[in-house]
Amino acid sequence: MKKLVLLSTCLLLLGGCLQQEEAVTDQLVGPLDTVSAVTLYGSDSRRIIDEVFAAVSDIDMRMSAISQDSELARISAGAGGPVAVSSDVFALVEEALAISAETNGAFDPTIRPVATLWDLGSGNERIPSDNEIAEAMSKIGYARVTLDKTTRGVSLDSLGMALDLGGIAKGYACDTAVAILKKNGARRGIIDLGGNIYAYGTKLGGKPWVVGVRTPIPGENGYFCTLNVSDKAVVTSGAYERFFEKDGRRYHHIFDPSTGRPADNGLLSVTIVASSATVADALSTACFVMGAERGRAFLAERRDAEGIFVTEGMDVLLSPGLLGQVEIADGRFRLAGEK
Amino acid sequence: MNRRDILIIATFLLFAGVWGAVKLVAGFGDARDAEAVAEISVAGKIVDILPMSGEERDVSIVGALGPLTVRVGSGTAYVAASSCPSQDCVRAGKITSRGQCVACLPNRALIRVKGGATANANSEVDAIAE
Repeated sequence: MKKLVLLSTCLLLLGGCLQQEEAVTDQLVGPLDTVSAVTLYGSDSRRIIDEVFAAVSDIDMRMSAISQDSELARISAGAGGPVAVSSDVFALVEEALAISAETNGAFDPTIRPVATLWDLGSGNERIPSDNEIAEAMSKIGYARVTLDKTTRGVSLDSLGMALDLGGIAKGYACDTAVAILKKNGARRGIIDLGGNIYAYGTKLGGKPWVVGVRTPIPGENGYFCTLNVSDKAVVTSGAYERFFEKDGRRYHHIFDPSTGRPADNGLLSVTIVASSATVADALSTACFVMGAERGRAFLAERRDAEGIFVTEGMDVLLSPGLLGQVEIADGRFRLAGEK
Repeated sequence: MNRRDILIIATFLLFAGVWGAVKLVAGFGDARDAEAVAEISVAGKIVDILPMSGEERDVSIVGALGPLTVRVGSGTAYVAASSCPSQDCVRAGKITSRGQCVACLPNRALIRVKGGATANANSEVDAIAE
């Protein structure tokens, strides 16, 4: 009898709890040049998601490198002299430059003249000449950006330079969304800003979220591996989404600031797992540019981020902190070291 | 409290438990059983909703930049052709599960799967980092 009463009570409570934990999901198309999706559980989810989307739109408006009205556009237009910006734009530029220095320029927010030259996604992509690349390279360099904390001034040292936070702004928006969730007492959810994932809290019952990593093959929407995470960002950079092909060779959108050409080091994708989505976003680009060997060594020293590197040979290499944490879900891929 | 009182309370709790279990199962069932449809919107306005079952058929829509062809059927939906310069939406491939979406940003077009099984139910992941 006691067991029967206990079982009934548990079922009642479980049914009641799950009714209160109904998921609310919504999507925002356009800002940050992507589709943003937020899934939350709890009674106030709709209002919190609206607040997140308002913040994402605001970040896009002020930090877009494309819009003529953004603060970033003002910095680029005012190259050669200081331009005063808002405190969060200043802080993000400062963080971007710090990561540039740490990665010896593998991540570089001044890469825009090179990206503009290649013009991926325009429909007019072409392989620039060596002279054109050299000319564009003369306009980049993170060390040529100076900051003045007292005036919140950002200076690019010569005309033609441009600042682009595209490699870090989605991560920053993700962290901003997390702050909004925390402020509003949200307990669990998934933030997905164009594939930049933040797994917030845990699933019902305290289990970690299961995040898949996109199969880095064009046209395939599945995932090749999974990992369990809570309160972590998972961000991927890969050569499979934006590219063009010429003479059997693929030219993708992740440029190596040391060559002015698409990074070419045998990688298909790099995924970074970190508490900070801002860091994860920037380091996924940096580690892709560095390549598997240098990238893993860099992460092993840095310790606040872990990485999954996928080579063109479908080998999956992990940074030390992820060993034993990643499960392969697609038989075409294999963890390095496994037969 | 005599034996009869305990029996009444136990009976009540049993019915309550069964009710809770029914709601639990019904909740999951709702999510799984609704037919999967592809909802197509442009600039936030829904322009078509199509069942994803049956043979593949093409739907022509007008985006912010120009025409798009969305192919829906055999449990999938994808952008078969687009007027956008980057063709990222065409390369994005097929979507199959509730919650998945594919967008053509220059055309401000979004195709998303509603109803049917979640990617969760099929693949046991809560999100895909890409």
